[in-house]
Amino acid sequence: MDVHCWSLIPYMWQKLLAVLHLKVEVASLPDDVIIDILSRLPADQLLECRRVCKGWRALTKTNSFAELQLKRATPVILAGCFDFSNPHCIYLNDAPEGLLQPIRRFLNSPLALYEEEPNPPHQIVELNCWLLSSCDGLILGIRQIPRQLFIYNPITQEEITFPEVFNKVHICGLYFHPLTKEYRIIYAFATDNNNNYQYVIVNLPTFSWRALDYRFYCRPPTAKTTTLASGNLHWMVEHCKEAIGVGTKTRKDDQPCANSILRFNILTEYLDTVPHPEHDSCSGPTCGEMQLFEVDGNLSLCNRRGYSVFLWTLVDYSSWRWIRRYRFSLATDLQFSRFTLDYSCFQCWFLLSYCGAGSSVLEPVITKFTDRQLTYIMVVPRLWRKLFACSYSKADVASALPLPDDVIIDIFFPDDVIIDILSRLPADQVLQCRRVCKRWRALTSTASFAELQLKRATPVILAGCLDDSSSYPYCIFVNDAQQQGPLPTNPPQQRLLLANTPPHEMAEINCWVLSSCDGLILGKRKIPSQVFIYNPITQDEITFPEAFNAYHICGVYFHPVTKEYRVLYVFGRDQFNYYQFFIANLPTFSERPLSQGFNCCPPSAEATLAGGNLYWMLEHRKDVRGNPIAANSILRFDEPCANSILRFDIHTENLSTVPHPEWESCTGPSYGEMQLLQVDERLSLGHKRGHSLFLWTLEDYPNWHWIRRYKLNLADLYGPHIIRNHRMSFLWIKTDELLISWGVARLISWRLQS
Amino acid sequence: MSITTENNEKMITLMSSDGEEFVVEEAVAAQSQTIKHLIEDGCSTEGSIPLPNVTGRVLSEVIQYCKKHSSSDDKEEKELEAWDAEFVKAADDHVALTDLMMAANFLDIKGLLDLVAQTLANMITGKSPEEVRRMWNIKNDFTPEEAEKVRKENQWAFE
Repeated sequence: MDVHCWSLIPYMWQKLLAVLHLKVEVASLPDDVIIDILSRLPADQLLECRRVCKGWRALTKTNSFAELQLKRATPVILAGCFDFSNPHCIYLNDAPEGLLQPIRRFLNSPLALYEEEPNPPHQIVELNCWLLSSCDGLILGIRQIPRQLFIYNPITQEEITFPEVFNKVHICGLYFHPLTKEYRIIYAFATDNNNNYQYVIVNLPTFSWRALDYRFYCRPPTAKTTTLASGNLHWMVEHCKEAIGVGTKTRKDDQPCANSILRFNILTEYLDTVPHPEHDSCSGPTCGEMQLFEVDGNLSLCNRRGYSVFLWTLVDYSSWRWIRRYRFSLATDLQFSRFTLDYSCFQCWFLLSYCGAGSSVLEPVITKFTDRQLTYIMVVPRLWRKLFACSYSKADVASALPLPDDVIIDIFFPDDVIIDILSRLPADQVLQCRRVCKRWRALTSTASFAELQLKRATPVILAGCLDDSSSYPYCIFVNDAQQQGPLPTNPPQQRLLLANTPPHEMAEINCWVLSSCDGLILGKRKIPSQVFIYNPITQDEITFPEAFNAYHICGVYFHPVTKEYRVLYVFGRDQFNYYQFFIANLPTFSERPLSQGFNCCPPSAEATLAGGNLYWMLEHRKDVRGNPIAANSILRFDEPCANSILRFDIHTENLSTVPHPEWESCTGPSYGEMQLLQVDERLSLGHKRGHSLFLWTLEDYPNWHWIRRYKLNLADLYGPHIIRNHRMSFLWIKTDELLISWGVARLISWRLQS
Repeated sequence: MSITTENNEKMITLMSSDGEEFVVEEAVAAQSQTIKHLIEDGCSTEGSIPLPNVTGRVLSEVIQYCKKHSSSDDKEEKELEAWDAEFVKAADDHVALTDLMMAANFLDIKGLLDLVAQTLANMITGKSPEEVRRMWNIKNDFTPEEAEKVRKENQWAFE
């Protein structure tokens, strides 16, 4: 019986499986070039491009792509307008040239994008539509017939309507939570008659909610858009004597101006209040005339005092320092009459956020609208993230939403408590719990949950085994016992069959595990000849395109920035032993070569992941030494030990070589007896020299400083002849216990003492 | 109310939702991040600190935990672990643990949160969805067709 072992962490693997079995021809352009090009397109064009091919579709569907595209997109201005010929319309300007282009009419609600059209078909409905907020190009609005709150994506023309209960609460804003990558809504409702408001956060599209654990004595803004700047949402607080934005404990009724802006941090989800500019000298009531907007990423505020308009910019967010940037007169600079001033001018200032606050640019826009009553203007970026990817039906929606009628907030665990408990379960139990109810299912299906669960999960050991007594000649065993005690010394009991393996024996014998990452197993089988990735928990499998059979697969890893699984492999070798490394993205299998080449090839043994790098010991042969031959690097053929470990940074995707411990005094050939492993997230190295086994740990990563932690005498365990004759590998150390696989069918667990 | 004992330990008073008052050393109570922030904001000087989400029964258990863990610097880690195990065992059933979990979450005591969450997780382990629903009185909102679909998705886990 021959034993091979790999460590494995149970993990639910979702993203990858959503787009299974795509076999895409290798595109002529590398992925990053395609992404660079496509991310410069406007959103509607992008939708067209998604239809070009599967590869493009996959590339443009990632979160990172959406983020890039959003950053590059030109904002659009939406203007809602009360016009006597067309009672209420929404206008849209999406010309990239700027504001001077005429604004197209945009009728929403069965939402279609019209060119100027004399008779809009649904005037009554139009009249009832009101926009509240926007985020990443999604529009949050409310209509009266039928009375409902909705989120609308103008590009895809999709709409989510909210359950009726939302009609009774004050919707404050829509935002994208950067950690969980979810859209959320913050709303408020009054808990008593004293303007004491409870704020609640709702996750979309599951509608699971969480109440903020403090209340505010201030009325949430109605019919005013929120302003997003520096990762916070801001509102001007309604100014009335008894309702001032302060926490429950310290109710500073005498300082309305010091608490005139309500601020919500979208990362920490914490609410507080901050003062408006010049609040020390402010007499109070003018706060209501102030308006917030965003200029070049900075929070700005405009304050009208009579015919004078002052524009402020928050130049230093952390110290909350405002600077007065512009001042102009409505009467002389813009020739407003008293009448128009009263009606319309105020909403116009939103436009400043885009024009960069120049009155010359402002003017034509205003003249466009002064004969109508402007209701709102919003600046909307052009793409959205994948909110509509998840479908839901209204019946799903939380019966448990907290509402003014039944203010029972603590009736059951909030979301974060449920997540805290469920993330401690092993993966198969999590799957069980997904069947409990829809809320649990939604909570455990996010990427952030998977990450947390993975961090807390206990690793399991996979052992591949050639067993003569069994009816399966080659089996893979799994040990997922939760106990902390000593590890079993004989091959563990539970047999794990890889999916899609026909039951006959020949297939089993051909199955070989190459590497694992996050509980996914990368393996190879011979009949049918293919490389595959297998998720033992869900039993799903991705098979690789045939071309991969000829490649030397080095390992699979999870790229932290793009949140994609990727495969590192080697293909091609010339007479100088020059190997070309490639990276392929899953599941599209689009590939790109690394710019560096190496004249060494990592062994197909499992790579060791530590500190965001993958490591391999290099094969030590006279003619093949681990020297990088990147264009500008120096060849060091005389220093094999200084380049004995190959390192791959999974973040930057660069390869380099580093020395093993004591390499200066090393004679060279002995490092074939070295082996890398991971101990407590640190890179470690086991070195067998004669009858002694030394264990090193990398204590200081930047300085590459190793410390010798343990020395074992192997002869104590077995006679000297066994040591010489059999190959040995170190598998795992946990709580001072070392697991060694040893020659024939032996797993040995060893208590370590330093 | 701030009072000072003979050994100069600052004492503070905590008041549970049902009006019960507990006088504890500040160092003990400050293991709760929530209380610690309240103390830093100067709330403890004006009288007792009200904890509207925690009943007296649960609060006494929480204080018991905090006392043990604030005086534990010189103690063996193993002994503390054993004490923790006894502590959650004494809480007896999942209803009491649920209360404790809510209190630990509200008071933001990391150690207790970890302890109780792990205990509850262990309780869930090995239970079928129906048993978990009964445990916490959760309504099954899947239609039979949906339930079947979800079951099929995760077939392997149920063998």
